[in-house]
Amino acid sequence: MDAPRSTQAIQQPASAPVTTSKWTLTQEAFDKLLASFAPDRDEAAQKYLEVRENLIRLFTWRGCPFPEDHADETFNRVARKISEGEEVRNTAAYVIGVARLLVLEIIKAHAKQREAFDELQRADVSEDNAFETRIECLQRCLNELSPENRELIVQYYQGDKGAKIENRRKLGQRLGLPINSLRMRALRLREKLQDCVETCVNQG
Amino acid sequence: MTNTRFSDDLIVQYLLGELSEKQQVELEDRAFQDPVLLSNIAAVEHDLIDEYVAGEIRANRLERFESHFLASPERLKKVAFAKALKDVVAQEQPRQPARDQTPHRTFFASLAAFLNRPAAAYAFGVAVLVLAVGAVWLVMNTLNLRSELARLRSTQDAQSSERRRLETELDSERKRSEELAAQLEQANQNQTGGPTPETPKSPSPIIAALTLLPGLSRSEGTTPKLTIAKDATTLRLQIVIDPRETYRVFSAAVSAGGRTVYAAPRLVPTKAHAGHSVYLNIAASAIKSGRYEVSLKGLADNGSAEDVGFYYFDVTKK
Repeated sequence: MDAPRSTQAIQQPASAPVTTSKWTLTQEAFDKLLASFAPDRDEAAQKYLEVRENLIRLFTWRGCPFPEDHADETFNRVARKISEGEEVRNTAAYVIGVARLLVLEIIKAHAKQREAFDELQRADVSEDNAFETRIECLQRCLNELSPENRELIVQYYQGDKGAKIENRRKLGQRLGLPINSLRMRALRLREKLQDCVETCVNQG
Repeated sequence: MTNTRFSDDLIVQYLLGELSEKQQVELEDRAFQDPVLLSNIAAVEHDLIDEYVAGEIRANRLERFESHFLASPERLKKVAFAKALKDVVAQEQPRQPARDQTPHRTFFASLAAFLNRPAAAYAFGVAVLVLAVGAVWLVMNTLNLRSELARLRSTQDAQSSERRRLETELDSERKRSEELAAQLEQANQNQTGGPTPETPKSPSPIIAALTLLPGLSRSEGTTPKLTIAKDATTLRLQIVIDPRETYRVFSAAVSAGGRTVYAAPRLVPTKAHAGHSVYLNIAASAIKSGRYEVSLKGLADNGSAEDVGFYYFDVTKK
């Protein structure tokens, strides 16, 4: 069965949470799901994790509120189909297709909920007490970086608009890095810092 | 959409939900297979957040950003992080432009950075130690060489001085020898009948001279008589050779009472007023009062000797 590309939404009661399902994932169903990825269980598990990671990215990019939950829901739906006897030739592509359908459900079903959610999003985070904690955590995490990396991340994000672009160009020249390589290096440092800050914030 | 490269603007449109379903599917399917595109989407996502935090998102996109992009708590956390990062970075000291920093790194700063590495510091320490030992060895060796040089120069000076002394002595001996030779020559020349021989300068030898002519017999009336003073030192006899003799070399023997008191094995005649003559210089102490006979022989080339004449004289010694 090829990956469904239809954009027709699956009708769900508006009050019912999109991410819930009456069908429960059993061990047998999960084993069949894994087996559909690859005969070897270890290889199947690896592909399962890769597909799950892509699902999370997809739901995130598409503006869905709970990417991980949506990913799990997607796997549930695919596992159900397989356990009911549906033959799937390309499980990874099939899963992505199901996810895209789920995205449409989520967008439509949560349009009203998003209005209230938007109010929360537009709240001034800087007035949040957590912001000060986040500042302190970020300074701590910055100091844990090597001097070279610390200087890189600070230099990369200094300045506004055109000054920032020129500053990054000069930084790349000084470090001997192409601008794309500098961008990727700053990206990895930023993600590392963000994980460090979130861990620090959660620890209180 | 068949472009292999997805621009940042296209990715922004995707993240804001502005692309068609087909375009979204194409980008997503490509991103799942291409790690570079995956990283670019993440980078654009962060840039979009930074623009939102800085208030740089255009008004027509701001609503889409807040309604679509900020749909998840995870993205809200990213916005919060971006706000914190912006504040912290703004608190950093203003830095000089990137291009001005590199030339200000001095040699010593570079050296300090290099020496911060343990292996480099160890190697540098070993190198310094080796140089120090080498320097000490060079100094010691130089001092020894200088001392040896001074000793050699001293020896050389001593040898030069010794050589000069020896040369001086040699020169002196040569001069003395030349003087004696000159004196002897002068004495020989004076004996040939020239001007009165010069009395040798004291201490000069006292010479008793006698000239013996050929053909004189030993009879009483014709035998030359010589009185030798007590303090005479030398008896000089001039023996005139018969002009008819053709020998070029002669020998002579002086005897008295059958006893030879003087012999001259090889005599070369010299020309004098009385003819060719040979000269005998006999120590006066060997001569006593009495009659003496001089036997003159001519020496042939084959070494044989022939009597050519006998000469007689009487001596009275005072």
